Amino acid sequence: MVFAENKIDVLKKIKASKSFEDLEKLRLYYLGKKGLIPEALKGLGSLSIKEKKSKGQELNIIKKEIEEGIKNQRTEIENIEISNRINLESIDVTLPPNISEKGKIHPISQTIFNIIEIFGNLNYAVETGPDIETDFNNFTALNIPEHHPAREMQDTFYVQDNGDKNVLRTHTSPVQVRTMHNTKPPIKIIVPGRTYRSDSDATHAPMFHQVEGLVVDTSSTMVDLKSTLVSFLEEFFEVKNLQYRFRPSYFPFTEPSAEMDVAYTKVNNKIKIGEGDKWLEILGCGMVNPIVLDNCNIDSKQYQGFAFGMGIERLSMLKYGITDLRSFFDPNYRWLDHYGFSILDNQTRSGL
Amino acid sequence: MKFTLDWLKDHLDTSENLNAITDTLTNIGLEIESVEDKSEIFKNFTVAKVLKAEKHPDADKLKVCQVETINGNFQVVCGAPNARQGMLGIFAPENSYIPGTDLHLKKTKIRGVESCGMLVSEREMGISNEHDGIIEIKDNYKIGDLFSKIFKIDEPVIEINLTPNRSDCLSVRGIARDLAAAGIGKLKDINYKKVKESFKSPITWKKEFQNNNLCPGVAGRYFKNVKNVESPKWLQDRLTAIGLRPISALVDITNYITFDLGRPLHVYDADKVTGNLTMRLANKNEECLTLNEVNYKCDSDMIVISDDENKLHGIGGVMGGLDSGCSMETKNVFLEVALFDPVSVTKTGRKLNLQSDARYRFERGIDTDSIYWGVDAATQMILELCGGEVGEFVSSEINIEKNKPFMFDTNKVKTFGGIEINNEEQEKILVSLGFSVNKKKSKFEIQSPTFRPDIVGEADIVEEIIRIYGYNKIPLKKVTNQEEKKQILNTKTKTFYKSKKIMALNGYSEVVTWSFMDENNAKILSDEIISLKNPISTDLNTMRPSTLPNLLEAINQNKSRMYLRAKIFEVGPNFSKSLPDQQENVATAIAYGSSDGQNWLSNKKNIDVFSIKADLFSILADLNVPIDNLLYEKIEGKIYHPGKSSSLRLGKNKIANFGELHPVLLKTMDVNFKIYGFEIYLENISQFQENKSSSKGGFTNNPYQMVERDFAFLFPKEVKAGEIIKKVKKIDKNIIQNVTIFDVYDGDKLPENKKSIAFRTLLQPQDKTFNDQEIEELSNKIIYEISKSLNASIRN
Repeated sequence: MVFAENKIDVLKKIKASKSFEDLEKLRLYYLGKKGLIPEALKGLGSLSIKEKKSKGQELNIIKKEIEEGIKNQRTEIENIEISNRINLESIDVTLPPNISEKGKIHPISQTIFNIIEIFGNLNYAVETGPDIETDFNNFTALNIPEHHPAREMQDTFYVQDNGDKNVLRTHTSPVQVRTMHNTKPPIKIIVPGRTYRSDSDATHAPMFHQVEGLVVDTSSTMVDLKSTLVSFLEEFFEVKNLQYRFRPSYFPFTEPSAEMDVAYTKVNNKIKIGEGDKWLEILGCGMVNPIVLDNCNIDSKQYQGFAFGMGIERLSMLKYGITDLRSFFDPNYRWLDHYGFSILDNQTRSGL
Repeated sequence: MKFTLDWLKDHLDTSENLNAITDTLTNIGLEIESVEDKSEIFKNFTVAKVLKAEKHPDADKLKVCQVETINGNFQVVCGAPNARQGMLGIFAPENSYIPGTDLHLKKTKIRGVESCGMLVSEREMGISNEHDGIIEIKDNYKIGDLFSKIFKIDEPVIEINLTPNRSDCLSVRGIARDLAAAGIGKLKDINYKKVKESFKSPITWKKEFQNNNLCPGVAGRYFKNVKNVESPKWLQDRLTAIGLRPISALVDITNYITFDLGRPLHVYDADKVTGNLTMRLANKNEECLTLNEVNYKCDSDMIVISDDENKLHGIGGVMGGLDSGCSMETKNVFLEVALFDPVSVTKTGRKLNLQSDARYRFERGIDTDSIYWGVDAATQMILELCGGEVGEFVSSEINIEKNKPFMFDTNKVKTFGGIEINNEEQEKILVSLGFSVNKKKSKFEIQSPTFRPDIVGEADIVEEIIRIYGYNKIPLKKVTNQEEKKQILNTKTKTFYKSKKIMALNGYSEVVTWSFMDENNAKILSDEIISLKNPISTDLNTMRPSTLPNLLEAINQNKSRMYLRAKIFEVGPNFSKSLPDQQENVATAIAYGSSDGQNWLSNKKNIDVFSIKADLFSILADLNVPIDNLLYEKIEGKIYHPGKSSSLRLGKNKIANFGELHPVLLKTMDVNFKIYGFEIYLENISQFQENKSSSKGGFTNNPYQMVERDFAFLFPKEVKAGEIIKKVKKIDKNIIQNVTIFDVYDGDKLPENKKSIAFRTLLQPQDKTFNDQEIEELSNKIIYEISKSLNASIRN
């Protein structure tokens, strides 16, 4: 038997088939055991060797092309079937997904994280101490004698029937005393923590947070103190050429003492730190009073150093534009959602 | 401390303007609190002439005035009966701020007639209560003259925020001295005129103390035939400007010298005193009626002034007596110029809860020399204002301890302050501040002035020199970190801060609440509460033994904002008498409401014990706690539901608590639905925060096919799931890689006191693929072990 059909017509027929059944029929018709191509190949046996070879080659090429055509058409039909199914399957993808809720970090913690990051880069270690303190650590060792008016600067909470641990620390400075008693210089620490004063109004809370810094070595001067604080504030507030005032003040535990103000302006009711003609007090500091060093068994003839203290809420309010101090301690979920931070929202040098 | 600019200039010869003066004050440590420049507030208010005043067409009591001002003519509708043609008044233009009524003036129509600005009354200007008519100005002023000049309220009032060490600057003179030292002008000399002492004093001073320090001395003088009058206007103006009420010349003189020179004084009406005056300690409960018309009961450690009949005429250093106070009828007066121990005055004032300008100065320490010059200053002023004859100077024994000279190493300015200031400059500053300096090579022998009790050593001198030289001249240097790297956080602080991030990572939001709570609630939770002596309010009178109640308070508060579900946490201290340092840091969380919101995909389930347990275990795992080794222990107490909670331990250490909160606690906190919570004891997990090597060891990828096998058993009810899992795993720790409980049933179809638990084991062959027989053997081993050890029976 001779294969007499036009190859192009065959391929067209294949291409025209619309289902696997039709395609299978065509395959059997041409390539099946009794199909036209095998039959034709069988018929070659009667030809001469030369003809057998050339006809054989020709038929094999046709066979390959038909096989190829069927394979392609099968894929084609599969694709058509998929796309038919796809048309039936469409859904409303604008329906909201169920996103798992992420927790937020309170702005007080975020501020502390920033501070630790900045001072950590300057090799300060973080120290802590208890909230319930002795009168000695909170006042006496820090050169605040019992009847000195400086004690009235700090409205103290007293604890009932608790031996010598009778005050809630009014500042983080008692940790200076603890550290100096337990560590040999050089000392380079910051102390973030809760502090308490019996004062409660729109701008005072009975509990708040401070961060204390202490450096004790043989050579630190007011130049180091001022430079450290300017550098910290510029990094914390992310401003270059911070406008500031570094002016004399008084704290019993430092001598000389200073306070720092930063310049600010209000743009559209938002505070902008670093420039402007108004001043905001931001921290107190000074050289550690030699009396305090001696009170803590550190020889003031050999060692000297500086200390500083800042209010965390204050820094936080200025940096994040929070206007109400009391709101920090009010668990209003809407406020927390607004001012809270994602855990990835870190102020690091690399920005990662 | 308040003063006016012209008052300052009584002591300071300067041509510097107000800004230079106030800037310098802040720069030398006398921080400006406020500058009230009334000439600025009143700069828009000027003299104007009423050209015409006609009746308002629609209102009987109103007039329509045409007013000529320095800025042109305006029409003003005015209701004042004295508004009339030809008069001079004070004109307030449109858009100006009227201080007395706190209003911004707008152009307006009054009953149909336009009114641009107004003619003001004294009350509207805030200078008196006079409001019967508008201010009338005398003819000798002209249109455009400033209201503030005419009424002499143009003197700027400066208030400084004085630090408690600078008692010397509780006087205008002290402030002037500091300014002069800083280069703002020259301090004027004070010379008191010599007076003729014309008689022997009818009253003398005595002291009766065991301890001389309580009152180092008291001086005084008798004045005869004085005439107490109203003070002259300049004196009244100054006192008014700083917020004091002028009373009479004699009283005003004592107040004025208190502020002018920092020298509190007292004048007694000498005719009301019997015999001599004595400084002594009060007898217990001795009464003293003072100028503020309160009868104080004194204590035996308070200094009082008594006459020969033991009548008290004042509480030393705090306040004078009412009965011998000066009135307009006073003819003869006796002056007190005393020194007191600061601590004694402080104690007395605190005990009596009595504040005064005198106490304020005595407790900060006053110039010991003032016992002499204070008498001169008062004498001169009494003579000038009240006339009379002057008695002899009288005093008790005076025992003043002189300030001891000390050595100051001038290099300290460099080694402490970090800046170079040469010795000449250092000396100049110290001398101008009143120190006496005796040069000895590179050292100064320094004697502090009598008005600087705050100076105790070299550090103080460094501060004096640098603050006058200028803190702003302290140079900056590069802050670099070239030291050896240290650990920033120890394991304790790392746990504290890291736990916050991990809680947030697991879906909890951070809150910060008071360390305090209500004692009534605290007592329910703990027997070892720590209470405050002076709480800010009764609901914040105890240090919290647990953070949970504070978190629970958030629930009702947020309901109105439609927050019906939440996960919140706080990391902070809980307090108890029995703890080391009486506190421990705990991470506390609560969760409540639907477990995944109101979304269309929501599983419509509420948070329960197991969802909070899942959160807790996830957090503990993030904190490197070996959660598989945790031991369960029942919680007693009133915080957790005893049947739906557990404490978790590792060895002896309590790691965490979790569960449903106790219904009684919720009722106390007025919460009427179920709340779940957990607490993590951070100090007990800090050991797991040690920095570990980041190298992880080799990875072996076991190639053999894993196999799952399921089992269902009937267990006695009291058998705990945790125990089952542990027992199964123990059978072969290598092969049994995971045990998952996939079904728990304890319904009534089971025999009594039984429950059914089904679990799936994941089996990993170690060195060749399992064959059927091996799996069968292992299954039988599990069935045998579990049945035997837990009194269970396999279900089909």
